[in-house]
Amino acid sequence: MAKVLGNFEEFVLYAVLQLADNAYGVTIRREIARRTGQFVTFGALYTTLERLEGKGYLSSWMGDPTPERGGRAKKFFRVQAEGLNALRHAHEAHARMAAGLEPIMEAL
Amino acid sequence: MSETSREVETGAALPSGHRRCHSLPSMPRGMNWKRQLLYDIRCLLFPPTEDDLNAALARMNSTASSGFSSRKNEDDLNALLARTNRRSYILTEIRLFLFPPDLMLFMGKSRSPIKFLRLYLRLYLDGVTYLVCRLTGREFEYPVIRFRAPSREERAYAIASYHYVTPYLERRGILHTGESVFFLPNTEDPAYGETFPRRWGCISEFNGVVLRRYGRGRVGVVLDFELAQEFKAKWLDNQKPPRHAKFLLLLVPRKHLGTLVGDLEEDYQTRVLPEFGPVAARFWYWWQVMLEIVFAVIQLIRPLAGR
Repeated sequence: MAKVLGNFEEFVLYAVLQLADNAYGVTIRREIARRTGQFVTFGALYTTLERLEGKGYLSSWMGDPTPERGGRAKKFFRVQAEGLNALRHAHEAHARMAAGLEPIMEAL
Repeated sequence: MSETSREVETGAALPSGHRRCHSLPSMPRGMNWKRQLLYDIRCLLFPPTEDDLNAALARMNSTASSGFSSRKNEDDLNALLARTNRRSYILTEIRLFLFPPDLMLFMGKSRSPIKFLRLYLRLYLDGVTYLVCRLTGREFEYPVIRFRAPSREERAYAIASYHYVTPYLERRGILHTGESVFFLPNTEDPAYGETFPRRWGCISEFNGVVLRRYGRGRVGVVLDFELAQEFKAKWLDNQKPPRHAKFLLLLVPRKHLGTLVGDLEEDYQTRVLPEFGPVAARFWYWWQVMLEIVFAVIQLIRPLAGR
């Protein structure tokens, strides 16, 4: 059974999936802010990214340094098969929990 | 030469002639925030008396034989000076002392405080170095010396001169919106050193893009939109996050610190700075660094607390 994902972990995985090959700190943060309206600090984001990487849900590689980053390299992320599985499980769990509640949800 | 006059002139790095500027200048020498602060304190402690203002007005009238000789608004001028009493002066000085402006805007026909605050805030947040104005097909560059609370006499002259200068500006074809007037040195002016002993040239309200601010007391305004954008692009290219904050961030114990610093810098350069301007961007950077530090401390404490 896949490990349970936290809410923010799910957001991060979704954002990395959405961004495909352009998923690094700045873009992930912007994507989450754009889609959820939630602004996170880079510290919180990197802690989550490192945790997900440790679980094997994400892989990372270093890009080229760019001048607008003060000559520092970007660290890109990609979702691994295990991460996709975990996300699918989380998505299905959400769907099962919400099943039959549509009239109530719509009435809200 | 009075002390005030010396101060104004020593800080003046006036151009040899009018020309279009293609590069950002070095900071004018002799100007710093401490000096301005001391000056502001002095202005606050020794405000002008009614006699000072009247004497300045009398001198103004006696020398008004050059380009600024129109006296058609003399009644308005007297009424304006009558309103400029000691109390309002002190209140103005306190405000200027607490919120030192980059640009002294002498409100002309419009004395709306909301308009003043709006303009002031816009200038303060964006900051500028240059004034580039277009005069009947020619372009002029004015490095701005300083903006600060006016001295006793300068204040009187500033108020008085508005009414004399307006028709002069109109004759010269300077854009004049009637909202406000601010004063700048202009050595090329034929009336330079005659009508205005303090050698203040004059121009009407800006209508362009604000460029940058080096520090307190040094600003400029751009009337030429394209030139302003050119400068702004150059300036944005050269902007860096605050050094001290960056240094502090490098002390935070983190695994991927370099990447995090790079991300913060990229966000600062590409989003925050162009969108919010230098002051807000620096504040944003400091805030992010503080958050990172707090976050790092929490991460350190958490294992000790058994969580």
